[in-house]
Amino acid sequence: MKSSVREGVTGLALVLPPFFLLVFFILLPAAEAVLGTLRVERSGQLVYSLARYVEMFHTISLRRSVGFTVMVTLASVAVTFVLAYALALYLRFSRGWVSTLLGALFIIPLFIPTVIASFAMVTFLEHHGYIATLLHYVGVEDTPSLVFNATGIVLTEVWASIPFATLVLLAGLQGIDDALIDSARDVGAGALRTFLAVVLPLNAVATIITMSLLFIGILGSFTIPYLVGGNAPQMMSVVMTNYFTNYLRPDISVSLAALSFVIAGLAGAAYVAGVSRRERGAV
Amino acid sequence: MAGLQLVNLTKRFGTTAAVYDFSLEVHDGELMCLLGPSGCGKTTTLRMIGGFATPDGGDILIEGHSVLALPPERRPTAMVFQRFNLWPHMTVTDNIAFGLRLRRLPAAAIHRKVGETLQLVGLPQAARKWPHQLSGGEQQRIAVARALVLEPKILLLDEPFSNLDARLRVRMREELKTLQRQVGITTVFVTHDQEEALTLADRIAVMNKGVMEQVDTPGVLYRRPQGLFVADFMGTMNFIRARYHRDRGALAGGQVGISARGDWHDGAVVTVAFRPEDVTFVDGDAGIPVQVRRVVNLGHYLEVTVDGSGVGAIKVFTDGQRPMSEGQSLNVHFRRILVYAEGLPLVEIEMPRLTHLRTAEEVVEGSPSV
Repeated sequence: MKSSVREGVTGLALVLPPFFLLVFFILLPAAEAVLGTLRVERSGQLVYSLARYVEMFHTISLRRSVGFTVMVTLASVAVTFVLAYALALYLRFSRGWVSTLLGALFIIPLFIPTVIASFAMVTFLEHHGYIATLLHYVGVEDTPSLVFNATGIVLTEVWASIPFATLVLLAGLQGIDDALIDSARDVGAGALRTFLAVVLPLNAVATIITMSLLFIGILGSFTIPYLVGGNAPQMMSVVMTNYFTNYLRPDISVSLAALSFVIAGLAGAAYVAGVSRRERGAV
Repeated sequence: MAGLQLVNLTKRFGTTAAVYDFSLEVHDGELMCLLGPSGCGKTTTLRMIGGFATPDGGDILIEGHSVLALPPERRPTAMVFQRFNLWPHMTVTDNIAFGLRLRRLPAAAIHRKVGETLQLVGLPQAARKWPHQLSGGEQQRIAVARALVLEPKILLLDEPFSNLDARLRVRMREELKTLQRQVGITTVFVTHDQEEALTLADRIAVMNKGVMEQVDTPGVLYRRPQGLFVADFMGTMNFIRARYHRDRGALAGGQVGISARGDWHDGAVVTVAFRPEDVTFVDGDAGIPVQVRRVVNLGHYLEVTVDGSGVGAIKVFTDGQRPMSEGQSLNVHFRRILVYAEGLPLVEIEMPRLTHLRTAEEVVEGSPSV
């Protein structure tokens, strides 16, 4: 056998298992589920219709849940992104022991299970928690509600997502040569202008990857909204579980899942576009 | 146009001094090369001039005014880096126009200036291209254009051609020299390549371990290097360690006497240095007997390595008129030598008298060889 043929066969053998796994355990069941949401029994006959989706959007709690999920996800992504970018910039451009220490510390949340982090946040943020106690000592009696609502979810998601976001952004920033930044300073750009005109565009791929992965991750997260979120509105993942196990309406649950699939798909498209841009050799 | 003065500049990284007590005056319109081996502090010095590194001591004056307090974006300097000069997400025009737009010039003026500068560096057709569509040499020319378009007072270049292939490097040097003459801008050029420094510079400042060794014109630097470091670093140089003997001059290996007179004390260790082109082959018994070890033909001249007792291996450049073969016995003579001794000024000797002490009796008693 020619070596090129042998290599081809080896490559194919390595690709096939994950490919079959993807097709038979994810794509086919997902397609079947989505088709299932469109099949409705009408006078003893199965017909295809959007009736379930119409019902979904006519149910106020579900409509609110979709909006709530998107808003909480966008807010979490935005806050995480701003904080992680600031941290990554600091770690990339400053030297000294503070930077080294921070460089080791920021990674810690990555190693703490979400369940533990969620309960820690509840203890921290709840009505008689650390924050409230601390504020009480300085004379603030009327603490805003920080947990069992959107604020709680956003705060916890941000805390849990910062390490990952910082890592990806930092890797991107480290790929920008010092000379490119020094050149900008040299021709007269201040720090802010250098950031906007050189650093930000050159780090675009890392930015797109971070944003899209953060978005998909937070959109589909369950533990944090389940433990830190309130009773209403709830995030889609929690609502899906309720419809599936408590309300015994798996069809609505699957329809919701299909919808979240579509929303995540948009972020996925941005990710693919970003990665292929990098592979084409552009910046 | 403006002069640049560096006054007792010092920069430490941790406990080691990268640059120590460095003073240099670059005249108006002059092309000054900072030359030295890697890690000698030349790039650090350049970065301090550009404002990218803050000196721990000393001052930097441009047109007589200290620029120490100014950040890089406000200094009247422009820098060309070794590589990664151009922003890959901007076209050539945008790269050059970036600094002009920051200065809020009207669009028409920007367009005109970019066009003129591209003409100046000989790449008017590159305006709409992206950096990755240009060759390495073209990219560096655009980087020079981007620096010049802002009409800085001082142009700083940090080994700008070191990533180019040898032929292109030579061409770029010539182009830069012509361009610098044309614009008349005061320029500081950092390089580790002595050939580059010799061909480009009006004057060269040789640095070693953070300190200035010598600053002179290329000719003087080559002909009269003030210390052993410069002598070794600039071009090819032969060295013979010898011991000074009041009656016989410098005695190498206890066997070769070189007539040299200086303020050295009896028994002082001296280093005799001479260029390969200052070695001549002589007929008869004159000079020092040597044997040809290797002959390398370098096209327009031969590089011959010879061995002699007492003097060790010597490199000779010769025009190839005289046939040479390995193992051949010859006599050599030196046209001109430089004698270095620790802490004493250099002594230059034209046509020194050489004597080879052939017999054991003639070997000077009590003068241990070095």
